[in-house]
Amino acid sequence: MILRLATAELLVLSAIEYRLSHKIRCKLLKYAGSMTRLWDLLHQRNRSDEPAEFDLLRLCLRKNGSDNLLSQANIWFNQGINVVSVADPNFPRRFADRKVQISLLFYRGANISLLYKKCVAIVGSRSLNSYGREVTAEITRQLCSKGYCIVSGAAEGADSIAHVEAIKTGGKTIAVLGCGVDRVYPISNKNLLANIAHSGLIISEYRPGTAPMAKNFPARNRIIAALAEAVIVTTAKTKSGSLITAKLANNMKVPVYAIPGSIFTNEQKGCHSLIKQGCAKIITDLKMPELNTLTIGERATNNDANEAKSFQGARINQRALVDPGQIRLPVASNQTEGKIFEFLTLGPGTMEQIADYIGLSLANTAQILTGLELAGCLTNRRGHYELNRFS
Amino acid sequence: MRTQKYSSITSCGISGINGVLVEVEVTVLPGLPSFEITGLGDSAVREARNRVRAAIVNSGYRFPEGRVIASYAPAWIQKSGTGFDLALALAILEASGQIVRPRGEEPLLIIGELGLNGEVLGIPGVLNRILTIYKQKKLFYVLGPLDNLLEAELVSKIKYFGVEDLKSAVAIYSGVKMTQKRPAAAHEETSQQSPRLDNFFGQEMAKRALTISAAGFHTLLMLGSPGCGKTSLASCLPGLLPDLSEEESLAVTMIQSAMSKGSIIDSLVRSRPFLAPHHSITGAALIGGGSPLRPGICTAAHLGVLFLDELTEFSSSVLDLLREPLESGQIKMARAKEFAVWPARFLLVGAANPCRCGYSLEANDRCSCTPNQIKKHLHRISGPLWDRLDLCVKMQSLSGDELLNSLTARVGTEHETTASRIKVCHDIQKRRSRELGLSFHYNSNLPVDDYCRDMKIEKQTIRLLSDFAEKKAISARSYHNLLRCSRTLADLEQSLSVKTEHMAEIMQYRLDLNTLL
Ligand SMILES: [Zn+2]
Repeated sequence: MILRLATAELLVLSAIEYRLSHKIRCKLLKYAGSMTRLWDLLHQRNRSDEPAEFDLLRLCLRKNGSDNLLSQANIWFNQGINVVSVADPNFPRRFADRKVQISLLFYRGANISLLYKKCVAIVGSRSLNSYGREVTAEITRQLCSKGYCIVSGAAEGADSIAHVEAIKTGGKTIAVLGCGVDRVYPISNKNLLANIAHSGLIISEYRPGTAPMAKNFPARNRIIAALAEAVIVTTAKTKSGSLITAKLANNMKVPVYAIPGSIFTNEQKGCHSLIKQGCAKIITDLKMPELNTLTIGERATNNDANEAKSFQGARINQRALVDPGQIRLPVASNQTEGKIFEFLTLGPGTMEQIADYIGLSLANTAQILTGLELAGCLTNRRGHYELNRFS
Repeated sequence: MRTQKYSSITSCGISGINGVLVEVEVTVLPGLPSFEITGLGDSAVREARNRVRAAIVNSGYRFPEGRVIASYAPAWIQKSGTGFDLALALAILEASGQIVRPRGEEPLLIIGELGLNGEVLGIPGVLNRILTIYKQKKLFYVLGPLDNLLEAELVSKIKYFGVEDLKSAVAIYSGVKMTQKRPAAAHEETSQQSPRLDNFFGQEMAKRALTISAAGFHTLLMLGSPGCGKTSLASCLPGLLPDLSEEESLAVTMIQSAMSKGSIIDSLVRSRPFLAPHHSITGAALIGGGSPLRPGICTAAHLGVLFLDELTEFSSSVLDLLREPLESGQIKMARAKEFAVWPARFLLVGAANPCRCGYSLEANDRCSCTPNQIKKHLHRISGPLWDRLDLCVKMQSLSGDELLNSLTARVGTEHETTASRIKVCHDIQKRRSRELGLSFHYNSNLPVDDYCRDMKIEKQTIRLLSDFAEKKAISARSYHNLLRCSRTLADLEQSLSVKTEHMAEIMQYRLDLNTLL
């Protein structure tokens, strides 16, 4: 048989994962000591001290057809999919430390060492206004420049922006999926996932091929929280999935930070309620000096020297960053534009509201708004105009 | 020597919306009693046998014994409807020697349906038939149902005699001079008053978009939450559009006559049609089809408004069919046996929810749809149609205060002012078409070689547009639409050339998926 060890492991694991509970999986793995050994033990009969669960496992194997599983495992292997298990000495300790029940982690991507780096999770809404977009991008840039690896969920919106910015800035990023690591979801993130696989890491606890199901996503969030030194909620409405991640992080005693926004809009309401309830600390400085006091990544690896170098590389990029201390309003070229900016700092508004406020006809207002939009000061989103910051 | 048992009478059928002259021939041959009709007829034509036999007998005449053979020529044209009954009955009576048309009488064209008791009943499409024979200059005396007298008299050049029953038809046919009866007093004009713009409070942006759309016949998409007033605002359109001209009116009346289902037409249609088909409509019902070919809703909406509510719910294969009428203003149908061209120059107005839940454009956080979900929702509007939607308006529900304001009755002249501005704008476009040596075209469909010259667009306006096109990466079609729509806006403002301000305003009404996510 020309199977590589990793493939054999995948095979066994997929069979385990398919039928058995977390408890049984752990028991088997603990007994065997490693995945390879488990595979070997499976084929040795009549060991008097083996746990009864071994028979269950053999049953699973037989039922699914050994050959089928082997060929399936080969396909996955060729797709670059690999797996790490709790029995593996390299399995990240932070899961056990934070009492997260997880025995297997499928992964795709070059850089498995990212799992041991210091990570910060960035989560947020799937639909963003320009403030949300800018703030997510900016905080990602700042964190990357500090050498943090960015963990997020590869969903649309804030997650995607965090991953994209991390890659752009030359930083590292981990995408935690709620489906198999070979699946592309949402479909609009096809290129992004390819990029992450190239320079970062895609992980999932689900067997390759698993479809993205709604129930998987809260479970996915607990992995995001467990991997991170800190969770930052950049945007969240009142019923946002990011709030679940924040709750899970709270339970794991992972520090949670939230970014405030205008109280006239709904876009940051979830963040505000996190801060108000004491579930999250408020971020008032995008450079996040708070993070300097955090614990460093979990184990010393021989990659450290290399990583230190890449941090420096990232730092050079920093000069290109906008100083987040100054949040600038677009420069108004006349009184009317000034009034429009003044109105829109309170929150987005419709053309009718703006016309009403500046006291001009709808036609004139439309003309001015086009001018401002072309100058990059404004964005029209869902029938409302909003200010572009950092423009 | 046996007498010739043969008769031939001219009648007229309808194919689509045009009349077709049909020769009804009858011969009575010796043999076992039977009655056959030949020549491509539909079921209504074949059933004429029973109606005609009953009408003849019940009017006191004799149905001939022997083999009665009726033939409708030319045989290759598909014939439908009940309009040949009267001609067939008279031909049978003549062929059996019961009546005779005196020599030297004017040529006669006979149309009408027969009831079992010998009554002559009204038929749809009388105006179309009369106009056809007027255009062909063949026959000048028409005998038809009394019910259709007023409709027939819309064309004054053709003499029409309306009869109530088979007996009086026989009398006219035999050359007896009778005085024309008048049908019972024409029923009151019950034209529904379309809603007035003044009745709607707020929604200034939507009103503006509606005005531009009506002024240049630019397709419009209204997006907004359920109940924000999309449908009610759109229903103002027929009232805002100028009344039909004489020529247009004749065209619309002809279509309505051909498609009428029993309603009697007694005057020319002056107001614009407003058609709002349900989203379950089939392609054949929308653009026409079937066998024999019948025009659809698009043709019925000719020169008026086609309003498609819940645009995202229509099947995309049905919406794709709108491409042809939107491009060319007409619908061409080709079948093995038939070929038809129907006019279909209408103003398309669509309304839709902006997302699945419908509330994405509202300021509150009721909507939790993600950009991908919204994309998926709006992609249900078929691509070719999406590209042809020139203007878009995003509407919000009225706030509590505004709702309160809207309760008080409002008397204003906004409706009249807007309507007269649209009228002026139409006149300007008429003049422009004439100057270019074309028939009347709206800005939305005016054939243009050189935009700057033909539409008088300023250099700076083009520069602004190029800048915009570069920043927003817009398509060529979108580019041209912006030019056409801004021309209409300039016409509304009665500006000779299209200035940057017109273009800048129009840009806010452009349909852009990115602004909806
Ligand atoms: Zn929604």
